[in-house]
Amino acid sequence: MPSETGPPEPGGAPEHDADALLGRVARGDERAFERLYDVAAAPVHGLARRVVRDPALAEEVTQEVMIEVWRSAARFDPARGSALAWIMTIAHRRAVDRVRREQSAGDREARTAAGPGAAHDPVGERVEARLEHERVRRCLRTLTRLQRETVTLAYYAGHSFREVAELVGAPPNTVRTRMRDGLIRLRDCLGVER
Amino acid sequence: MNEDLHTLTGAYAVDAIDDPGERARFEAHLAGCEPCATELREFQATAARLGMAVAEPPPPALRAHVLATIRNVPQTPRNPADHAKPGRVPPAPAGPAEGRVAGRRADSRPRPGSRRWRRGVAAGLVAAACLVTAASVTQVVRERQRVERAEAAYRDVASVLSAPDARAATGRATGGGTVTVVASTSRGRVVVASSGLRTLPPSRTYQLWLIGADGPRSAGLLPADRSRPVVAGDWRPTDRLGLTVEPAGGSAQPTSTPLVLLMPA
Repeated sequence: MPSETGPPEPGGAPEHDADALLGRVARGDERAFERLYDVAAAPVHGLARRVVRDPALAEEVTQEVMIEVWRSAARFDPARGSALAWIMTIAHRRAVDRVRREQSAGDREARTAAGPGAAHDPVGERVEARLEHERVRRCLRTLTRLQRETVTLAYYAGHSFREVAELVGAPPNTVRTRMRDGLIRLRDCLGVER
Repeated sequence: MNEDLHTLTGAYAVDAIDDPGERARFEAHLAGCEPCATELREFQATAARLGMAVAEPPPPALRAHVLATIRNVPQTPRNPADHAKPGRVPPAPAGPAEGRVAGRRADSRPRPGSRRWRRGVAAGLVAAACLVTAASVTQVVRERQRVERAEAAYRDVASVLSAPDARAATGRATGGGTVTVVASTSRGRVVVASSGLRTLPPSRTYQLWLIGADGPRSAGLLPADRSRPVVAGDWRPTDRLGLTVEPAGGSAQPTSTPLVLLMPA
């Protein structure tokens, strides 16, 4: 991706880069935004692809999210988490909002039918075997099947916990508890800072 | 700690609570439950890792598009009230935002009956339009001194604006935005400046047309960075200028109704 500042260092720490960059973006630094785009656009777009599925919609979501990052950068508080986590939280919410709006427009069945199969092993063949990718994949395997399914159906396929309950044939209360248990186990396995 | 609400932390972190009432109750609970807020932040960071594991670069065109767009998007100042709310992300804007791309559905189609013809623009408007366009040229040159072609582009623009027979027209585009054209028969060229045109998805582009007695001739595409006026050639005295939305790369003939039609006079 051409840029005068160049892509982020392959061996660098994008997390920390992104924190510093977002701080500069909050002060209106367009160059910093360019570099932040190079760090964040692929994760945002990959997630949007997973959730909304349609490539053109995923591009729209990516664009909306990156513009929202520019607009709201001053609201990012480094004391509450990393810049990338903040951006991905925005991205997921946008993607889910979009998919629920599209759904109400009528393609719910198609998406639901494609859900469990595609979401079952979501960290799939398409992505190169990067370290992060492998680590997430390995950690997902440490979850019970129900934990894994509830987390991935909600996160990667954008289903509500009630939809997930229908899909996996478990009571909604069980599903939301398993979702939480699954995230706790993932958090510990991935070594997310506490 | 309310156990029932507390177990919603996971569902909330992955946006799996689709009932707005339930979400509001959880958020109210969150405001007074520090352990919940901490757990939510950890879950959001965890979920982000799931997202980063499926990273996939968007098409390269999106980058230029986003970078051009943010120049016209004002930044929101820090809101102290947000500080108290853990794990919140900014709410989606209620209406269409500056950054919202035109959908590929109804909203990218010009509405019927919206053609705008502008004739007989007063001489004073010519001068005003020239000033506006010249001002944006100055801005362009100042901001983009490192762009090699700025000088040449400026000369092209200036040559049209300073022509003794320069004529201008300004009109509002369907869907928002303003287009100004300055045409000179002696130079045989037009300068087109736009502001506030809706952002298009990367699969679409704005295309200019010179429309004469023998039909429309393409006058090129508007670049994604619309802060710069464009110069287009082959202007004839009876031409009108049209602007349409076309598939990326442009079309040989217009495939949609013009968003604006201008006749410099």
